[in-house]
Amino acid sequence: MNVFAQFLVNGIVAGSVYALIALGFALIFTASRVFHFAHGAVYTLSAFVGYSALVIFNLGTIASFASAIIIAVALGTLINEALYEPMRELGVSSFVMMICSFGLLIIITHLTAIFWGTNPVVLWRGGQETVHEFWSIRITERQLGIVGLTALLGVGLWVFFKFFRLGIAIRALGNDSELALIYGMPARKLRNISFAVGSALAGVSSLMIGFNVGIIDFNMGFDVILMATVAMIIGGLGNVSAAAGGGFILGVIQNVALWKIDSKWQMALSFSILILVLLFRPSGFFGEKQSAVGL
Amino acid sequence: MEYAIYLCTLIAIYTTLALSLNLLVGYTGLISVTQAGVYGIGAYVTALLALNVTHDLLLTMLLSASAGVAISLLVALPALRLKNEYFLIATIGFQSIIFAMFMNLDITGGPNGLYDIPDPTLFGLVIKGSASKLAIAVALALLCYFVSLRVTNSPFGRLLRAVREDQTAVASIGKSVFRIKVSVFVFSAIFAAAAGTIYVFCLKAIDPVAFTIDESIFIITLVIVGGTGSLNGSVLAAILLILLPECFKFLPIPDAVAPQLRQVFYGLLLVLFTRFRREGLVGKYQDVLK
Repeated sequence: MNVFAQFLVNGIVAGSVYALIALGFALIFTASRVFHFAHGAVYTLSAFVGYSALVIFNLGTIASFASAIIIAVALGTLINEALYEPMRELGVSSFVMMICSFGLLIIITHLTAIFWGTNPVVLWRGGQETVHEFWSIRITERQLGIVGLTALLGVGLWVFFKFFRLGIAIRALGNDSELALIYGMPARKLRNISFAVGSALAGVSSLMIGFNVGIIDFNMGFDVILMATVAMIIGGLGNVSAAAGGGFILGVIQNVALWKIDSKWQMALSFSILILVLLFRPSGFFGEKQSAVGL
Repeated sequence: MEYAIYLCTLIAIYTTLALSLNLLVGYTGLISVTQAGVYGIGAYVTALLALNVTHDLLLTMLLSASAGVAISLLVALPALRLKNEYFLIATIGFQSIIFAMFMNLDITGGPNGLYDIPDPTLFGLVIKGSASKLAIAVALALLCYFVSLRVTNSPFGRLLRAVREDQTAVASIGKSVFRIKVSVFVFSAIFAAAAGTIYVFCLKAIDPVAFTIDESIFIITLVIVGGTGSLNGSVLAAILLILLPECFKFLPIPDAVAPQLRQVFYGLLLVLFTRFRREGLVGKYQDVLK
């Protein structure tokens, strides 16, 4: 029982990592209906900028987070302004934007590799770490921090999208952008805000996760964004906090499965879940009613 | 000279892969990310047959293509029920699952892959030397080109174009859009898997890294740069995208950076073409990628 509980707790910690990145990804999706894969590149680049500020230039933790967030916000809004918005004006489908986003993910990922090298770099050497024990289940202070931050952001965004005018406006925009325009909503501005906030979340979470793992590498965004996609779909599209829920579910399933299945099959397992959800429950576990099925 | 033959072989293989995917993209408007996986299935089946059973070229190619078809049906039957973006994400899922199998199963040799693969035989004659293997690769690419041309100009090709233009209209005259899409998928898988056979016999060793999701995206890049629905475009794109990065060799770039720069170049093309020229280099059907 205790082993199972430990796997469960590990799953929640791993899940909050997916949830953190999925929150920003889903926020952007909710506003723009674009699968913004380049979000993974924003995540990677901001981690490396934070690393440079902290380790290379020795500016301290606050400056490290600040620079990561600034670069993430700048890059995220730039991508929207320079690519998605002009494509949207031309009437290009979000399907093509998604492919464009893939190209961007490749470009930024490999540029990061050119500037910072292909070897992983050490962000945080660790050191004394407080370990809490609850009924013989171990969890470190930093892991608690990540879970707490994710829960806070998940609940905060749920409140924001449920009760605040701006949040409701962004949801309305995602549901029907033409109707939103007819009602005179500043659609482009709202989308830019969503890209900025979503990217800022990527900036924070990349460093948080970097501190937890200790090392970062140029490829970190690629798998993470795929897992965020899985998290968002199993959580349910169109509901930002549901993506966090999806992240937790994914993390827990992956870790509890470690009991029986070798860790090398984790990716395959996650995608099998994704395919099953797409086929049998396209609206996800907590999402709005909508269908991915059709010609 | 040996290197030039190697490059030409690569061009022939990627031409086959791009043509096979182009039929799918150009005529159903669906982009599959599983192409590298199907290509890999063809390669692994060929390698295993050549090591254990037979290295007859035509026989291995036939069996590999059958395996490719089987896998692609497994992908297509569920995935084709999904709409654009969800279809693409589901195929990313299948690609990752297939890759995990290459990487983790014992029979595929894990991360080391399979090596010491014998030369193929054709009608009892052993095919040695890279030049004659190049000839086989080119023959497959030509076959793929002319079959695609024949298919697209046939009554079935008209039906495919109709599916591309207006699915509802096709469905309304009693044709099954789903069945048409599945047959294109199968057709596409046959040539992708056959390209895998050629790849194995030319390189005589395979490892899973050749069949990653990046490889799938590269094949998609070829189709988009060439032009969706344009067979000539896919051939041109394969030639250009294999040869152009070779020019980096003449620039003063450190060796470690060159492969990264190559990826940046491919990514840049994908972004620029989806943003500014969705009809590709020679395509005319802009409406497929609208």
